[in-house]
Amino acid sequence: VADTILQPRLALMGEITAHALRIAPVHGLRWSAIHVRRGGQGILAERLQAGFGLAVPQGPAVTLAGPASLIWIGAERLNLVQEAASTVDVATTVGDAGDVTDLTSGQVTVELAGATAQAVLRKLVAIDLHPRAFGPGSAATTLCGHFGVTLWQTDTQPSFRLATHRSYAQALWHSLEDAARGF
Amino acid sequence: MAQGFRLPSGGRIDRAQALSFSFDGRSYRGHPGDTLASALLANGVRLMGRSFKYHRPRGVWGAGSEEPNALVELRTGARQEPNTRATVIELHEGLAARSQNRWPSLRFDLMAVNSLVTPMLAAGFYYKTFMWPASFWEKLYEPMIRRAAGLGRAAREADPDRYERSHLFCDVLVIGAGPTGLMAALTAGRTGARVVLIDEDAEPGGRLLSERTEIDGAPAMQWTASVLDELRAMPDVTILPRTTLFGVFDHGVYGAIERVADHLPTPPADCVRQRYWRIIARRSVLAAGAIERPIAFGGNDRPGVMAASAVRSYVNRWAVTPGRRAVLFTAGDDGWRTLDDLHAAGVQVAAVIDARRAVPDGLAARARTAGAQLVAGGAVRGTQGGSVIRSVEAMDDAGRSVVFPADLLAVSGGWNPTVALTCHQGGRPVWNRDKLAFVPGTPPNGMAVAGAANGAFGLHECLQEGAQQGLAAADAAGFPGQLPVLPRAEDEPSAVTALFHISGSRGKAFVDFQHDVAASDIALAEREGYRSVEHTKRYTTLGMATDQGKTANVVGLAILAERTGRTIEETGTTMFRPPYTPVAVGALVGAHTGMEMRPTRYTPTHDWSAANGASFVETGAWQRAQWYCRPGEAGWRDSVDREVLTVRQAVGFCDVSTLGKIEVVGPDAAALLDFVYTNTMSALAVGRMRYGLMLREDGFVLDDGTCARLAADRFMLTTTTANAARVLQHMEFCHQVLRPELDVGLLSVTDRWAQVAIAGPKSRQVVQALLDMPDAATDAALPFMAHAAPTVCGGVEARLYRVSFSGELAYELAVPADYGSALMQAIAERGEPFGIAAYGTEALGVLRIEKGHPAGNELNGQTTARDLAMTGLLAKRKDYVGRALQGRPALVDPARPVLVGIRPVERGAALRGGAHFLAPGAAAAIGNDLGHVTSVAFSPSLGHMIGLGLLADGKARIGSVVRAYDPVRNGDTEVEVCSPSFIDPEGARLRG
Repeated sequence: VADTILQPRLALMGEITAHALRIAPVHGLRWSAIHVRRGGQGILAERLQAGFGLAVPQGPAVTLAGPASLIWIGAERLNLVQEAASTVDVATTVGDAGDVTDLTSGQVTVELAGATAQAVLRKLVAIDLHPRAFGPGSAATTLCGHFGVTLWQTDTQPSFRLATHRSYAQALWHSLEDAARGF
Repeated sequence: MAQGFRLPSGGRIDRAQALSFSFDGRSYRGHPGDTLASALLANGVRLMGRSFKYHRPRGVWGAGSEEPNALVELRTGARQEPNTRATVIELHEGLAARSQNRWPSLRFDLMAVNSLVTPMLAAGFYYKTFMWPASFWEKLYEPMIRRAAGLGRAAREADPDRYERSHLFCDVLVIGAGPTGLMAALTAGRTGARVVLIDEDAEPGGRLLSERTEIDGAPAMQWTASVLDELRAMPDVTILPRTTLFGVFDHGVYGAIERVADHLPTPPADCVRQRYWRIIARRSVLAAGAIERPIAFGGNDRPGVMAASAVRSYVNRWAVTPGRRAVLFTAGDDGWRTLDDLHAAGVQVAAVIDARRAVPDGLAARARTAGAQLVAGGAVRGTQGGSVIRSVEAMDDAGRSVVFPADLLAVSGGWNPTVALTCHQGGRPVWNRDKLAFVPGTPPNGMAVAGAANGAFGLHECLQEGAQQGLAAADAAGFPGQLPVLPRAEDEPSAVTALFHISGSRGKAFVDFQHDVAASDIALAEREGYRSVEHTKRYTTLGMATDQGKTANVVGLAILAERTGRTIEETGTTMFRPPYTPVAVGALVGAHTGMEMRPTRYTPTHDWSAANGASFVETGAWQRAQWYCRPGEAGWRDSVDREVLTVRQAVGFCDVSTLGKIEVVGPDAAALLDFVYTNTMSALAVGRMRYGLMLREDGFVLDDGTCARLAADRFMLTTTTANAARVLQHMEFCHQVLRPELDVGLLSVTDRWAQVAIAGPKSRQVVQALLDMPDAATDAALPFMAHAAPTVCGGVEARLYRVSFSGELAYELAVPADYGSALMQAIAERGEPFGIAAYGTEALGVLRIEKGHPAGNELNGQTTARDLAMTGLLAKRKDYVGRALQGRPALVDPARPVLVGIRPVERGAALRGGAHFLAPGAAAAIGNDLGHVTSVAFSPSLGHMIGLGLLADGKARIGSVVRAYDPVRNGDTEVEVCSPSFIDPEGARLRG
């Protein structure tokens, strides 16, 4: 890969800051979709635990273990998100317990951190973000205005991550700029 | 001008600050805390508008959002807003308002001649007048009615302000921040529940803002302030003033509009004008209070006739006396409070006319103290005056007429609980005989009603019900608590007698002020046979104005009940629907205006195309390169013709990333594909791909595309750009509903790949120049309809499909999306020695029409595989979605139009899409229609226009001539019917 002549072009650059809020793209994430095979749930859970230290979330939630996160998307669907420090190969780890599809570079991810993040997010998603209802480890696959997103919370600062399809990157960024106005 | 009607002290206004404002071009002054109505009254302005039908002079009736009369045009220019209620417009510096529905001026309105022809404008006027002849409707009646209808004028310019939408979740939503709502919110808040308290007023307090009431032995607003302090200190309580709850929807969803900046001259930078709150609440407490109802007597619409409670509001809250000499007309105890407050404010009250013969002694004593003449068992039968009343004509209990000079008539007909929101889920209010009011029937699920909205009119009752319902709501939401010690307050006397309409009135007695419906209109409707309230409402337009008859309905149906000899229970009531008060569409739309109406999707090669002369076109949500203009090209045709010829003669490349891409994985992937595709995908070898066709269940074509087998249990599908989401949805439906036993996963990977078509006789050389292992693209290694996963340009992972949409030797090369623009640049550079050119969607379209490939215009939801000559793709030995219904007789009728090619007989003639086929010499009648032209293009390869069309008996007509008839654009062109495949019908080039 080192001698490639192609330079990747990131879908999102920049930063939005406001009172008690910083919004910035998260680069370098590797996304894998895992289709959980029927009857393979148990083995898959063991393998993901062994390979990544990640428990399989039950229902709309995320498990976080260092540089890897496992997001529940649906009954037979998980998304595994790895930062650069996570070098374990997902397909090898999952083996015949599921089907892994690489989604890297098809997804864009932004992070919203700070006390104002909830006030901005509630303009975009119809999800209850009150600490009683949503906290670190909570995840939602939902609509942001008119396009689909995956939202999850990583810490109590609070920090949220919001991911969507790459072609909606500008639409997402514009929505965030708009929602952050006035803070 | 001095504020001649402003009391020297009191009121919740900031006298230290003066605000200047204008009404109809004249300047006035008011204070912060004023509404436009209170400030106008303070300046002695009583005439504020003209009525809808008769252009009668109107002043202000009430002091709240139910105001039917004082409607004005607010602001100027792009921010001009019609029909705003002066009673709820908060005064600000420089506010400009105008009266409406008058010409040439408010005082002298020529349209007031309508009053002289009142018999013509009575109930059912439109129905009776504009029925015949029918042909007049469109040209004469409708334009005439439209010109006369409506009150104010909307701005002509685009709205310059921002609006937004936001979401709130809570355990208990309290609607209304009067004593009931405050008590409910406090009780619920103390349990730890998440509470949202909303109120349409700028200041919480409800009626307490307007009454000289005491709570715990001190002025009630002291208690209000302490409750608000406690609520504001609770972290999980949200208080939203200036917010109107306008609708109650399913599943605990409530809609509210917060007027964030309406009270400011212009919204500050970064501030929205209004915010639409979508509130999701486990429970709600409706504490919306009550609205005082008018009494229908002659001249009850004249400026100076006001709700008795509104008079108290102006006196107590805004320190304004709406007149110098008043008469009070009341049906019960509550109106008497107005006597006391006017007297305390130093306004002379000439008379109190109480409809009851037996007036309690205590009240009679109050009349004596105030120096007012008491007329017990009396009624007002008329008013005199011009733009404001001069005198009130009353009858005593013996029917004798007494005239009182007065410029203010306060009217109290009893109270209507504000039940509107309880009707939004179908609940019908029920008549309470004791309270003489409609109280909530079955409120929406999760809602409880408390206080005056529930018919509890006493202050103590309100506080008690508020506490009880606040506690019950919190408890039901999982937050048990305790009833607080109730603050000390009294239930004021609220006895009332039923009084709706004064028979023997002098002049028109209005029921619906905003729609100019009089008691006589309801009587007329009854004479014409109307008995149902719903029919009477529509016939007379009672309660159909923007206020939905908040003041009018009960009086109107009481008159109907009386006329039809029924009780009010038997007569029933009409309902209210959302919105409670008018809502600006802009507030609902929020940020989604203009180009933001829907999100725009950008391809991963967009930047490269933008830098290389592309014009873009919207294809669904996508922006796609339409053509690439080069220096010297005068118009789009130059570019498109060059691009097409380059593909046919050398090589071109085009972004196809927008095609839907779906990965189908799992042990049963092939089984699901066999079910959704008409052809058999389970027979496909790994490393190969084929063209696939999907039908809807009704047998019509859903979409076409390619299907590549990546592994035994993994396929990659493509769909058309337009149908990407629909196909995935269809496949999910087929999987989850029809074949749930299959172990298969579906995943959209459209955004994951930048995919580029490289097409033309020299395409292989270009592809090989990109591949790290050029041999992977030899004809032997990668024959037609094969695919591979090579690396390109030094190790970038790629997928290479040998597939063609243009009819030429062609490939589609996909790389991770982040490399899209870099790949385009690499193709342009490495293809340069071969004469490569980028091409856009226009050339793509020309190429596919030349090749006869159906696309969106042919896959239009009305065509079958047979129509499109795709029967070869229909497997015979398996079941698939749409198989049975495509065989319906009408769909296999030989005369059914099928796909053909056409070319003009005179080669230079133009063809147009949408033209209909007619046999030569046939009359242009629908019975002679033979089908239509679906797609046309200028073929630079052939040097003339070509087209595709759906033609009856199409196959049999190949070689014959028909007409392409286009009456819309005066086209009537003879065309030759031919095979749709204009270029290389044998397909030799594909395999080159």
